[in-house]
Amino acid sequence: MTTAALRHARYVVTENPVTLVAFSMLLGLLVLALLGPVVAPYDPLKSDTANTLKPPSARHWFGTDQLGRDMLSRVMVATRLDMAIAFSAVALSFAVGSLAGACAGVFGGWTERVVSRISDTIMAFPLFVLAMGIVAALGNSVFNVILATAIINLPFYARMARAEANVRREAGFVEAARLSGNSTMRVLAMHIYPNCLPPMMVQASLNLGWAMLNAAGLAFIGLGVRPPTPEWGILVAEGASFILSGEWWIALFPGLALMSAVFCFNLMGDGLRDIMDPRRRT
Amino acid sequence: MRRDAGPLLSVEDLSVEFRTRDGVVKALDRVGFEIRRGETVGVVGESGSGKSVTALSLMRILDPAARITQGRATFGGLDLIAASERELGLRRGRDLAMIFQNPRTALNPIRQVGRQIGDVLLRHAGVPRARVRARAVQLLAQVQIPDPERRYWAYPFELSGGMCQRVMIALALACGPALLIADEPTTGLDVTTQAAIMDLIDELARESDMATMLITHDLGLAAEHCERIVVMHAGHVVECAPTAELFENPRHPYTAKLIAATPRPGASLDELAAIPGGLPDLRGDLPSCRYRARCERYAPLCDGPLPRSEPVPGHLVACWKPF
Repeated sequence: MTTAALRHARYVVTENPVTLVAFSMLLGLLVLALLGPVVAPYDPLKSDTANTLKPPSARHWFGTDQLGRDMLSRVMVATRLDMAIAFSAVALSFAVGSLAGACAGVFGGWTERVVSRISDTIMAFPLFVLAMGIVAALGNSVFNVILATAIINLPFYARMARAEANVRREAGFVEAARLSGNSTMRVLAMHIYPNCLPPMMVQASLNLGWAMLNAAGLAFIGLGVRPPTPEWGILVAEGASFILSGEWWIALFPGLALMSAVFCFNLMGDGLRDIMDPRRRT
Repeated sequence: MRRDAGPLLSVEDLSVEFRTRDGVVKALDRVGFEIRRGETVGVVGESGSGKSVTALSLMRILDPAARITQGRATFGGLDLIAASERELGLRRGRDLAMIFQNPRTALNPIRQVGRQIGDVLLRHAGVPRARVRARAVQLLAQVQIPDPERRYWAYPFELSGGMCQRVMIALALACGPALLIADEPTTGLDVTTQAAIMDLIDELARESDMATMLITHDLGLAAEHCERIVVMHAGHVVECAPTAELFENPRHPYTAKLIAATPRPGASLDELAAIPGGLPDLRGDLPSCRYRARCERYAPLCDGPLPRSEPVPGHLVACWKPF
């Protein structure tokens, strides 16, 4: 079973070049997130007043910032924090949203009304402003950034899971499962919910990108992560003031890192769904 | 073969209504029949005559819009109509199993078929976890799936329709039920596969002394496989008799028409008689005999309450002017 799943994953990755690129990039990001602080050539927080605002060179590939800190090291070390925020926010909203949505789709009635109205309410706000509000209200911490990002993404999962579960509620195999003596909860957990997952994987993957952009956006305007912690959003914010004076590299490289991570997540969606869905195993 | 005194399943006066936007549909009206242990009973009738609704009522998985208004259904000492959802959960799949038409949609598309059989074994048969796989493979072999070891890991989409129906049968028979309700089990399968599936059901039923309720609109199929046949029309049971008796001496005009409309080898198309008219609208007030409008033998007498006579022992008919 496990070997079959692995074989299938390998097949999906090798069969579609786009998926291969996406997963290679993901692997790179994960390695950086894991080993960033170890492999970074310099201490990302150590300033070097003799070498401030140096353009990219053989010694400092991404140049240095106004305090002489090595930008390459800062971008590398920031990977872990950015990935952690994006993944935990998506995991949180996926778990809560898909479960609430699936229950709404299956049970209907007041469960559905409550879940749908909460989704509608959240979606009535400009989402980024809502996230700002949540972080401002709950306090300026990384955990609250994750929470805010999870909350603004919740409706997408809830609505999608509700629709998917609703379609499958009447499916033949659900009826058959009930006829073989399964309780409603068991049918939901074993038959309806797993069948909703493949289409939701695409959403989750796209959402990883949004979550990352959202976290970076909050950091850019000074919410959530605070300097001198390296984080892509902050690095871009710090670099922004130097673009006019010609020191483009401070903002460019963290921006590129952010962009390629989001790009990778967007490409990954279809591949992830293909891995989750055994019907693609042809 | 064991034949207990009482019937295994006894249905009396079962009535079911559907509340719809434009009125109450009286889908079943005082339906009654019995199935004895080990017996194969066919339920025949045209589409919309209430065959499937009867099965779904017995399984108690009717649509929320449906309501059982009266009647009793007793299955092996359990009152199916009054039983709680919990009691039903324990019996469904274990003592009372059902297979549908469209086997392909009746299997979970993203779970291997062997594991789906395993789920039932774990839940009802008390098979220890370590032996579930072996037992599931054994069941797949029993329904004559070639290479069951490998098919255990197959997903439904990897199997043909006939294979999926075999898996459904294996699922239904996993716990050795006393009654199998087969709702048009061969619809959508080609003729060769149909015969193979029906023979398989027959054989397995004989081996385990399982009763079968075969729902079909194919009289020929019912004639071949059933000991008794229940004929339904517009939510009424119009006639119920042993198979040979029913075909030789149909008493109800509808049954006679139905037999005349069944293709036989050697019969030309012109000999097939279509039954005039269609099913009556089941909303609002209905005449006591719902076949009245289509019946050639209609007489004013027929407007009285529907009689139930037994011209020959074991042959029941609901008609004022039977043959």
